[in-house]
Amino acid sequence: MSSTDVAPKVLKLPEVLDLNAASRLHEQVLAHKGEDIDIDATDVTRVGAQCVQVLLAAALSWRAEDQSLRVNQASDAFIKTLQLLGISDEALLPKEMLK
Amino acid sequence: MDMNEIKDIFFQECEEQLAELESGLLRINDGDTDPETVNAVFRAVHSIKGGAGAFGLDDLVAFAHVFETTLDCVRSNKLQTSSELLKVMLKSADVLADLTAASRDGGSIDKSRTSVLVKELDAFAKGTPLPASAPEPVKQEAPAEPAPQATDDSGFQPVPFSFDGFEDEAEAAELPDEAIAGRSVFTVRFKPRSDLYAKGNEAVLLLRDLARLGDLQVRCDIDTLPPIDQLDPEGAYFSWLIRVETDKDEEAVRHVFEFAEWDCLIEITPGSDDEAFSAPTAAGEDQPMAPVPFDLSMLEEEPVVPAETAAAVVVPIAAARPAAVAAVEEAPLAPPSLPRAEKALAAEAEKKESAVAAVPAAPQTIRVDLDRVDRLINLVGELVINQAMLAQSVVENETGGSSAINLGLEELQQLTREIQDSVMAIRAQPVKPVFQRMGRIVREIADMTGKNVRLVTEGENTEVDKTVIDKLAEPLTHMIRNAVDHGLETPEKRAALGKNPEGILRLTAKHRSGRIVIEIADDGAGINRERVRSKAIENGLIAADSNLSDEEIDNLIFHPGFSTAEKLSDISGRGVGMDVVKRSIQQLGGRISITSKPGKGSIFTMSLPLTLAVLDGMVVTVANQTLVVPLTAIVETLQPEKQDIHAFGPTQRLIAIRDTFCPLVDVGHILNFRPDLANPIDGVALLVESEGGGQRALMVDAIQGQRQVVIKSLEANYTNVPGIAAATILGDGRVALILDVDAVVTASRGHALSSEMTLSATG
Amino acid sequence: MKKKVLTVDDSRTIRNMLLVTLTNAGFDTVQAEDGIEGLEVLEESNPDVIVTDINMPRLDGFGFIEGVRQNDRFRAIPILVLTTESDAEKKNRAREAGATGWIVKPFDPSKLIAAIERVTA
Repeated sequence: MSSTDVAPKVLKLPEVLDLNAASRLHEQVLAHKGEDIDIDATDVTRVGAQCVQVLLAAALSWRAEDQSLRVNQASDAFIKTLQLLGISDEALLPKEMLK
Repeated sequence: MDMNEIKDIFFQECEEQLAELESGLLRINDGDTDPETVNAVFRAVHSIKGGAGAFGLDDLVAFAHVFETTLDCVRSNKLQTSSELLKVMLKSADVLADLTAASRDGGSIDKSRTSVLVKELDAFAKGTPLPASAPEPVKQEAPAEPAPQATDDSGFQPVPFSFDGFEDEAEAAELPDEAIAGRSVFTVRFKPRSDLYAKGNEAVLLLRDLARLGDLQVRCDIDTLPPIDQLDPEGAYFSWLIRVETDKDEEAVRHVFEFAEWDCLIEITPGSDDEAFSAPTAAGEDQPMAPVPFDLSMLEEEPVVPAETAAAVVVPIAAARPAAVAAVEEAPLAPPSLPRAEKALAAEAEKKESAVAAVPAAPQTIRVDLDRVDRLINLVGELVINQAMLAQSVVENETGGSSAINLGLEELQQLTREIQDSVMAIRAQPVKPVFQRMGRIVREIADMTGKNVRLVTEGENTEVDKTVIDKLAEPLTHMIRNAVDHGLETPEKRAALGKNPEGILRLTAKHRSGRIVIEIADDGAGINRERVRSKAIENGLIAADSNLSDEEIDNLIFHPGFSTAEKLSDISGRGVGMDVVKRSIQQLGGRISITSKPGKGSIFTMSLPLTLAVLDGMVVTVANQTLVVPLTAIVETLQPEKQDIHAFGPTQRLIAIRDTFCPLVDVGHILNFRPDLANPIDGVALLVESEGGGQRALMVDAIQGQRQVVIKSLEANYTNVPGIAAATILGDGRVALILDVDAVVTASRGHALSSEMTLSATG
Repeated sequence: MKKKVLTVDDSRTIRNMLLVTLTNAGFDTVQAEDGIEGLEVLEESNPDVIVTDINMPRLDGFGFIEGVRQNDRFRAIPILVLTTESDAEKKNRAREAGATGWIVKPFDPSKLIAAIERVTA
């Protein structure tokens, strides 16, 4: 639970999250440190392992500070890639989204 | 475009590469030390090899490979160039050309020559200070990533792959936990390094390809993942433990990591490692990451795999589960509908064109089918005729008073002429390829005769019509052979004479007054006039007491059947003498002459028209027929006076020109246009140069004028007519015949005109 | 969505074979004749994957690959190298330069397409 009443900040992910997107994603996430973040991954058509690393590391770090950074909406491509990579951590993705 | 067309392109490209190869080797031979020259030579051979491989031309590939290996040694400075090496390489270039030709046209080549060269090339490649084959690089490198601090014992420890530790497949198949008969289970441990991602590989894609093999259970090890603020976004932290259940073999599993294995730790073991899967992960997670079964049914349809190439890609997937195939994404991979694909392709083609156009390149060229150019030339020929006819009818209808029409006509004529010149220029090509071929001829004959020859070429970029180029090779080859065989002395003899043992053969091309002039000059012994003379007397060509000038003696070598070589050699041809060369050059509308200086060498000079499609001619009237006499044949025109004409025997007449007498030839009579001899005083004499350098006066009734005419082949349109080379259409629409001067002159010597004797028409 | 392939090869024969194979396989194709042109065409075409030869005039395959990997916009593009035989030394150098994978010449169409599919999403 977030300690503030403010609606969580929404971070919309771009279509392609490849090697080239990892650094930018890292910066974007860090820029919102201390805020609850809803990740919107509905546009994502392609995501590489490195961007998943960034997102998962962020989710775990947020949780360690009692805050939330989660994917609340995601494209099938995004969800399937996470499944393929064997990422099942609820810190990043609610279990129900994994079916 | 189909494969046959690409094969044609390949052979065209081979021609270019072979030319590049030879000229490069020759430059190196001349002391060029630019590394780019060696590179270009290497690339030429490499490129031929690559294309040949694509078409399964194994002989060509095999030889190119050996050649390339030796060139690679030169390129990497493991092998110093020497004149011996260059000699072998030039010969190899020749063999490569032969092999290419044999691959294209069928036929075989001298295998023994090839195998000798292969040995020689090999010896050069091996006899180098450094071993030719570099040691195999070490396959497994130390991990580039420093071991992350967060590593925990419970996280799995990747083991570098070692082949020895593997059970064989049969054993693996017997493992108890095999669920389905015929399927095997493999455990894959996979830890990428950041280099893997940096080089464009992607763990997601590797896992996708694994999923295509069968059912996966994937467990991601995230233990080394640092807190977000310590994370390198382009680092590699994840590693995976994967259980693959597949009906494929271990090789297929390994193949998935073919591109990646250098930048990751990968271990593939048969059987399932249940212990590893159930082991808890580190980092004190509340909910350790459980292995996620990855079900193929979750996957969407196979990405774009076109029918033609689908088989190879689909195989692993179809085998695993026919209906469901693996792909992680769906939208980007949906197979495009065909019309859309085509549209996209067209759009892409446009884009591509603009992309290519933007590239600054060497002179832009396009390849055009020769037939198309010829059709254009024919059409322009028609245009020229039409324009002339139009001009004539304007004159005839006396509408010529209008200056506008005249001006327009003049402009039309100008434009027509320009179009014609431009079209002719399309066919014009540099003589370079023919000259380059001569390099090889020289080497071969030098080898066979034990002579030391250096070929120097000049003016290789001189352009001339393609048909002329095509017909140039044969006479040129013959003359080159002749020059090396008969002209140049042996190295010993040259040394004894105080000459450089290496003879120089100079091949030059240049434009001179609308013609191309090609010279073949050697610095050999020159014509041995005594021997030529005695041989001519022996053969009954000249009277024993005849008094001939040096020039006349020299020109005897062009006499039919003349050969001064004591024995017929293989090289200059069996009894084929310079007369044949002369004849083929004359057939091209050309002339050949020789100048020679004893002890200094000989120069053969031939001059050829720049094109065979048009001809500058003298339009004349003979017995009410209109004929065209090639201007190049005419030395001068004369108005005979009564006192110049002298009877000589019953039918022969001579005309006195200054202080010499020249046989008078009645063209109308020779061509059977009229039964009786015409009175020379009523006509005009055209002094022409004929075979053997002698002159004849051709008698015609009147001269109409000079004109450029478009040559129309009689053979193609009608039939070969003795004494007539070709036809043309004049401005008034009449067909005029183009006189075959040499055939007429030959006939005047008492030989009847026959088809064999006449020259084939061109155009 | 069709994938776009940039091919870089100085041999007209190979360029044509690539073009025919890739077009038949449903790919968009852009082509360049050497590394320099390859980098230029890259800027305009933004391909999904690159197939390049090694031995080329002006800028060879190694230099070209390095050029792509140093380019902020295009460094993530998978690059497949055409090698004439399984030449370990060349493969190594190509990999060091940043190649993703390789295709051994002479390639048959299915091998080429399979390699491209492997490195593209």
